[in-house]
Amino acid sequence: MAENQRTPGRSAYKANRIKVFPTSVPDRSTNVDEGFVPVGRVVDPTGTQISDFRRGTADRSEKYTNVGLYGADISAMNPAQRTAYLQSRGIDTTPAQNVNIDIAGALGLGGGGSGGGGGLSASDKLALQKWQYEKAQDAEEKARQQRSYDLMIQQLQDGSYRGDVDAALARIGKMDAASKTGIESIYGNVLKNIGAGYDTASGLTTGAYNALTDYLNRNPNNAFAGLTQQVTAPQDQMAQMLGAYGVSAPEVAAQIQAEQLAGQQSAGAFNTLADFLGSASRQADLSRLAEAQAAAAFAGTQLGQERAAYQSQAARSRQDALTALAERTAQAQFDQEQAAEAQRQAIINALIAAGVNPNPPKAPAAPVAPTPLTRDQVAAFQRERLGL
Amino acid sequence: MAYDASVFEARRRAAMQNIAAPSAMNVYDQFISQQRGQRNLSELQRQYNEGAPKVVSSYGRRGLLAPSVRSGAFRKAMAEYSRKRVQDTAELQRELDMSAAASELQNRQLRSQYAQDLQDLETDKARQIREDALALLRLRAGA
Repeated sequence: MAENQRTPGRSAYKANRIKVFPTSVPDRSTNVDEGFVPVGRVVDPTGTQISDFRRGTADRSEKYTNVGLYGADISAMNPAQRTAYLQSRGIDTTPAQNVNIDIAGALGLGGGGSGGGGGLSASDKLALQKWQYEKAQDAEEKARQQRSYDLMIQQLQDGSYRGDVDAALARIGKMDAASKTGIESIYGNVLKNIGAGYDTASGLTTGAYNALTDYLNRNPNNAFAGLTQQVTAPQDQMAQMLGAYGVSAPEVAAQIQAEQLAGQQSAGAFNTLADFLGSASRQADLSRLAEAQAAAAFAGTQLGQERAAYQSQAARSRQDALTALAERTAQAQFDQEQAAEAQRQAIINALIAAGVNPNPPKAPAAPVAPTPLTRDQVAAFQRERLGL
Repeated sequence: MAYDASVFEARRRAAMQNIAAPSAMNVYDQFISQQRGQRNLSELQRQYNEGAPKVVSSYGRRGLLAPSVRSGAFRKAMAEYSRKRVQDTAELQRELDMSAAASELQNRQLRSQYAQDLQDLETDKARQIREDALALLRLRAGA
């Protein structure tokens, strides 16, 4: 007792050290080795656990095999996942009580110890504090690195390494949709304009040629119609005088007939010419009318062809615009995906360089409770067992 | 060229002027020709009317014409005189008729030309409207 009072650190060390060695056969019926609970953990001043003290490698291997730790990479889990996983395997994850191991006491180097020697020197104390500080720094650095790796793996698993790529892709998609809507709107307006322009042009052209046809029908060029030469009949102006002298002159009658014939022949030639001119004029009229109708038909056809050409041109422009848009959208999406893939590969490369598996096996799924049998199924099973 | 009504109106006036002056000249020529022809015809009739008594009297002085005498020479001479009068009168009248017909033909030709000018004008108007309509369609289509 007095010794403990003098060297309390040493007594605690001894009390804890006794539990290191088993005093009875461990109960292996359970997964948890109650007889080999950690006797203590070395805890640095910052509270970071450095290592567990267990009985031996063989027991740890057996224990880990029993709880299935070799089936998962705990190092790839974050603290919460690790805690949940260990608890699912029946491992007590309650933080052990910090045990202050009095190394100086154990070594009998206490300042008031009975071992003689007079305790730690100032330089030893300083060295010890430096050693403890360095251990704490190392542990903190390892923990920080582990957190970093955990975060990297977490990014790989949940896809957060993609950053705002998905948002950018969504914006690209919205821009693509808006551009498509704009292209379709422009195309629709162009078609409307073409249709309206065609209607206007067709109306003007039809009206013009209808007016021309109406004019030609109402104003035929029949200037020579009814053109005839007047024939004045010759007369025997001396017949009365000759009758008074009792002179009969058949020659005069013959001359009158001859003059009438000459006049008729002359008029006939003239009338033939007039008929010819009138006929030619009528034919010219008909030809002009036919030309007007042909021109009207041609104008309608030309307008239709122009409209079809413009519609085709508009459709081609629309298709070109949509194709260009699709190419730009695909290129932008590809760039974003490529950036995300580069980021993913960079994380993988960093993990591989650090010796960390970038694809840790996932924790096995919890066993699914069997579906309870129905009463009929139980009855059927019993009948089958009994051979009924 | 866009459709311009004033252009066609100017062309119409030009066509009218093209027919108006020649028609007026032709009508005047016809009037003069008819007047001259009628004067000649009247002169011819006067000459034949005045010549007939002289012929009769010449045969009377020679005793070839008397109330109980009707010689063959007198009859023949009078028949020839009358035939010649018919012939000359008919020829002169026929010339008048042909002159009038020729003048009328020229008038008809002028009218026909005027009508063709107007038809050309209306055809050009329709063609111009068609071209302008096509240009409007192209403008509307953004060509």
